[in-house]
Amino acid sequence: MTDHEVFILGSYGVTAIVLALELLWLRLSAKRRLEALREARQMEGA
Amino acid sequence: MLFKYASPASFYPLAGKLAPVFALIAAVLTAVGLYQGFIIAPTDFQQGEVYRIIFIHVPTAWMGMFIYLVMAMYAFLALVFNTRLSAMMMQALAPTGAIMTALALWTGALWGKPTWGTYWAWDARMTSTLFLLFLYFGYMALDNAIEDRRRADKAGALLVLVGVVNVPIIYFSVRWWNTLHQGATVVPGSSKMADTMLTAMMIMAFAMWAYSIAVALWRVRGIILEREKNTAWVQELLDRP
Repeated sequence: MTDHEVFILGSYGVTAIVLALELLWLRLSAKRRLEALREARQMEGA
Repeated sequence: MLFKYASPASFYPLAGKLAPVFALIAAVLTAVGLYQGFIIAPTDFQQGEVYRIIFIHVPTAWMGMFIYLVMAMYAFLALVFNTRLSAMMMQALAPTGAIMTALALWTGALWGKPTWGTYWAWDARMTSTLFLLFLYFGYMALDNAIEDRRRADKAGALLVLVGVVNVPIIYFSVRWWNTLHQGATVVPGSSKMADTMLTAMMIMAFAMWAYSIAVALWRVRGIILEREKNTAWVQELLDRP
């Protein structure tokens, strides 16, 4: 692998990983938030 | 019509419908942009293959600045008209703006090493972009530090509005000062790039645009739920299976 290819891979690879992690984190936190709110709602109702 | 969607209760389902559409547009544009950038666009006669970092570096740098401008618009609306959704949008956009700015700095460093011989120089373009990243961090830290939501929104909006002066400084820095960073690549009416390269860069810029919209819409849905959790419509939503 040439130096140029390493720099290109470093740019696109890190970008892809960071954006994928942002999406994953969003999905997980949305799920967690909804569960926590539902739980609080049930506790209130009980 | 527009005013109807200024209400979090109306905007929540709309954001839920629009976000996947923008995510799909982003995915398609990214595939097309990468094909155009890596297969169609020729090798640069001066820089060789490494110039292809431009197809990710410029779009992320543009988005870093553009998202801050959009946040400033929402900050103005939040302060002047006291619209709840504006503050929520500001909060939803900040992490993505910070990520885009950080990626612009990262890809710029990886492009700088083979072309300039250094990852970093304290020139006006790079330093003002780093300052933009600190502004995003500052806004997010301030927003999290103040417990009272109204006060947090106001303080955050003020910080964003004061910091917006940095965006034209970033943009014009290459003209105002003697920088290691090159001048503007795309000047309306006269671009210095080959058409195939410019097309790839613009497609990737629209892809990043669509991605940012999708992510901001998904994030604002969570913020709306959290902030409106005591309202009847959210309680009703939570009761649904």
